[in-house]
Amino acid sequence: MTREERIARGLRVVRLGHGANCSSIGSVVDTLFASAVVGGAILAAISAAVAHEKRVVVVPARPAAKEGEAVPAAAADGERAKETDEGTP
Amino acid sequence: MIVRYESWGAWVKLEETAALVALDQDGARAAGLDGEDAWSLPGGGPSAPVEVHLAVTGKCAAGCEGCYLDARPDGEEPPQETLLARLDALAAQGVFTVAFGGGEPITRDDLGELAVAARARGLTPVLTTSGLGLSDARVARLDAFAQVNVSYDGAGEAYASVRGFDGARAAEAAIERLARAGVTVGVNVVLTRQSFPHLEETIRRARALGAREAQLLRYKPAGRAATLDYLARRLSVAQVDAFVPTLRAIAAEHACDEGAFHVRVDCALVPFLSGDASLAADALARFGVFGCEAGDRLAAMRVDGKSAPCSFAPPADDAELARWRAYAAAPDEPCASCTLRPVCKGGCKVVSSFVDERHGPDPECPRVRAHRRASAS
Ligand code: SF4
Ligand code: SF4
Repeated sequence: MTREERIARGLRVVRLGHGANCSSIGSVVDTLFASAVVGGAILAAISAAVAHEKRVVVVPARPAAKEGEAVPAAAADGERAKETDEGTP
Repeated sequence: MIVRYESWGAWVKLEETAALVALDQDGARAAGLDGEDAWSLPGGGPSAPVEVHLAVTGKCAAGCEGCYLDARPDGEEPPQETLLARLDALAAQGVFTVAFGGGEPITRDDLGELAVAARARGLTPVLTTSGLGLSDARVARLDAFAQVNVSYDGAGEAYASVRGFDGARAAEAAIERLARAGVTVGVNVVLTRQSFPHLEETIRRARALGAREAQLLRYKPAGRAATLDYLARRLSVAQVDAFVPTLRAIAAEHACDEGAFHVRVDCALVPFLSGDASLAADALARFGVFGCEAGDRLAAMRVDGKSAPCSFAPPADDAELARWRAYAAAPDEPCASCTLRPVCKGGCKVVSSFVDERHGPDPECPRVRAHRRASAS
């Protein structure tokens, strides 16, 4: 199985688009009416996008390490996140 | 990608493709992600919302009859430092999307700066506006927003039937102006008994003006709309039954499967999808349809800084939030045994609280109506 196929198998939820409503949460529904072929193509495209994005930012920032503990790579002093360009093999 | 580990895997917000996905642990590992301690801790409890609605002003001169916030021209407006601190807090929780609302957000001169500040914190800012007073100069300051939606309930009469004044022309001009400036623009269409018959024409017109998405919203009994008039404005039973066929017709007309235009429904409209038995719960879940996520994946921050389960709900402390989540996790029949419950979560609590005076099954859902008819006979 390819890496993208493994990602596709692990996809639980795909929410397309940003939406821009400030009062209630919106969800794209036209995908529900698309054919199985189109639905499968959307999931494959999203799996490929996950596989190919290189920059990885982890949120929220983990708490700073206590004295004597190793500082995890992800921790940062009050910053939101760990950032790396090596998140994908 | 922006990653938030959860006990079950990870939420991943893609940066090059507009999408938020949930990966289980195996899928996350395949993507090169390792949840480390998040995956080994037992339980986990409720995690942070994925989306927060942030009221940046209580000011609005439009005076819409059904305003859910009761916004007014002299409404409260928090200083910029206060809003920056709120953005800091949301970023620290791992929230992904911040939807700026009001009042009318474009009344703030520093709106563009606030969007840039949200971006700098790793948040995705989006905006809802009435479009009233949206000049080219103001549009030029909105480029940090990932998307801007204009409230547009239809041309002329349809708009006025929802808001009590004809702001359609201003909304149309705003849609055109935003699209011309290269801003991703959508429309918010509130569905009432009066606007629903015009829906297909409304979407046609919005798309012709440059909108790339239509967000359909259920009319809700909150703020100035929490009156008996709600009963005359909510969708009729026949309109609720026509909802899914209408969605299908819109999706076909606009070739949504080719991706150039999308249709969204809000959380409160999800119960109406139950009228079509062919829509399976697992497909809804897979394509990220969110029902009542109040106090769970969704939260609202009011202009006074108080948190609420959603924009239509009153402010809530932790105990009240727990009550909202507890009902969604274990609703009454027919929701308890409904196949759509994992997605729908019992329907809109704002509606049930108004109509039935309690958190209960959504009284306007086709399945709840059928259940009540059967129980009564
Ligand atoms: S019966 Fe309840 S859970 Fe099912 S669709 Fe209706 S409101 Fe939602
Ligand atoms: S109560 Fe639930 S369904 Fe209703 S508007 Fe709020 S989040 Fe949406």
